[in-house]
Amino acid sequence: MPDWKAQSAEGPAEVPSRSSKRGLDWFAFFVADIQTGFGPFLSVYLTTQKWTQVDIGLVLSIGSLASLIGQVPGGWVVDRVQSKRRVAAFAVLGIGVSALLIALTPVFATIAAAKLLHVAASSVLGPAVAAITLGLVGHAAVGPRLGRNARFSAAGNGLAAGVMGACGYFVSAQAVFFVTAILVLPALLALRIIRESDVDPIRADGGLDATETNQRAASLVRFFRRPGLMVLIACVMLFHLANAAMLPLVGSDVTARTGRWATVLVAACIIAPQIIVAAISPAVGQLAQSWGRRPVLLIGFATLPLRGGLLALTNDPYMVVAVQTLDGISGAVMGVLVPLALADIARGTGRFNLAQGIVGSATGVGATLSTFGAGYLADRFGVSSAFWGLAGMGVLALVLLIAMMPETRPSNGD
Amino acid sequence: MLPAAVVVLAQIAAGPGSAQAPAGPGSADGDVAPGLTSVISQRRLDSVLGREVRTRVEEDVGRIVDILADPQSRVQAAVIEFGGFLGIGTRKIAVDWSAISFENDGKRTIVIVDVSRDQLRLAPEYKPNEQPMIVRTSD
Repeated sequence: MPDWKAQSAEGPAEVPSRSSKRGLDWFAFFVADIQTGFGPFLSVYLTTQKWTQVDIGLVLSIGSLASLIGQVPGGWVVDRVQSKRRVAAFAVLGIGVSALLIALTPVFATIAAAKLLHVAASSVLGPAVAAITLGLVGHAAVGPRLGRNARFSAAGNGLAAGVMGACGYFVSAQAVFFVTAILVLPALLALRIIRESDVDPIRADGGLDATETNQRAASLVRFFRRPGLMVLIACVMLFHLANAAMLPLVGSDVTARTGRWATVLVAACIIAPQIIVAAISPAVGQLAQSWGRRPVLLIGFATLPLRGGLLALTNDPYMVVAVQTLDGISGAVMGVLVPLALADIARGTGRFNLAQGIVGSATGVGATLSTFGAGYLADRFGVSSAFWGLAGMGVLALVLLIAMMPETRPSNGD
Repeated sequence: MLPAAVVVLAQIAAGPGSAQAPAGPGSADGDVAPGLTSVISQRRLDSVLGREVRTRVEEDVGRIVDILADPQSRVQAAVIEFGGFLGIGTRKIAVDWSAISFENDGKRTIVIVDVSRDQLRLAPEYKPNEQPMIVRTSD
């Protein structure tokens, strides 16, 4: 008799309902879909709307700056809010409204507002997806589950890139944003299928568990002193410093070399890694559980300078596409292991989502510097020097990881 | 800070009647500076910024993103963005204005840029803050 009661309290926590798991699959998928049009494609669209390069640059800079600043408070908000589902729903709606504004009124004021709305929504949506995941399955099972999320997210990314790229090419750039707004509906539907009662709000923040009861652990200063947190933030920043400029550089290099087939080859450079991510992410999640986080992170980080070096040495555009698939390995590792290691580090603090926000900002800083640095190197010394420079940053990230990053997997296997 | 179209006058209905539309007050009864008159153009003018362009032979597709003029206000070149996918991996190249022509295929006007693929390939990327290298017609 008492067992029955204990199980019902524990039951949904340990084994979330099938429908919630399915819901999370498709939510990860559609969230990836609705983000596709907001990347560099926005500048293509604004060009078709007769915007000048200066205005496009300005509105994009406003967006990137807001994103650097906004992600930390975004994560903090997700920690504070009780219902992670509701905050995710508002964020998805915000992205839908932003897409409609962009499609319907391409004048400076509304595009700037739409961009800021998108940034605000994204800065809570990213952490919210991981928070729902953690709240749904709990820390012990979160590794494989993050692997599954990454699979659906990569499938969404790859498919959306193909569909929206084709849509922009054959229909119109504007249509891409209407498609985005329409895809908000299945995203919300998927979110509805996740049961509110299945998402434990305390676990979703990496909340206080039985072993760690004192409030002192939650204090910010103590939180930042947690082993591995600062190292992981620095490693992620260096990773993106090495990584972010590679694809654009590959893209313009391929465009310069191949002419007519450039579009198809650049598309392959974007979509092929997503296929790899979708294929291997669940295995990455399993390995992180059985081997530990460190060895898997090492593989992901080691792939990056390898890719940079190979890109510097390769001239053939088709070989470039092949080398680009290595991006899928590091992409899968980052997609699974970064939130996983953060969940390890933030366990018992209730600050999992704040940590995600900080890592998000670090990603933004790394990516921005990457574009500047690689652009400078490419102008002064040529494209292959830029690839060598990026590979060098990748080596730095790897060395820091090897030297400083502790194993964060709970020792008792939980 | 509104998106500035370089040429927005596309006066298609420039029939003989409308050509004599009263030009703004030329004398002292308005705010208009003396000597400045507005006329409806009789010639067909097309908007240029954001237009899709094609190369003549290999059909590379790009888009005009900027217009460059010299200190004497003569238009010298167009900046064209080529290639890429979803905005990733595009290349901006400055092409001599004389290499650009508008051709009507019966239904619509297509902008043709008369440079070869090799020229596009070898052309340095256009940088807004540097003196541009301009690609000229192939022959």
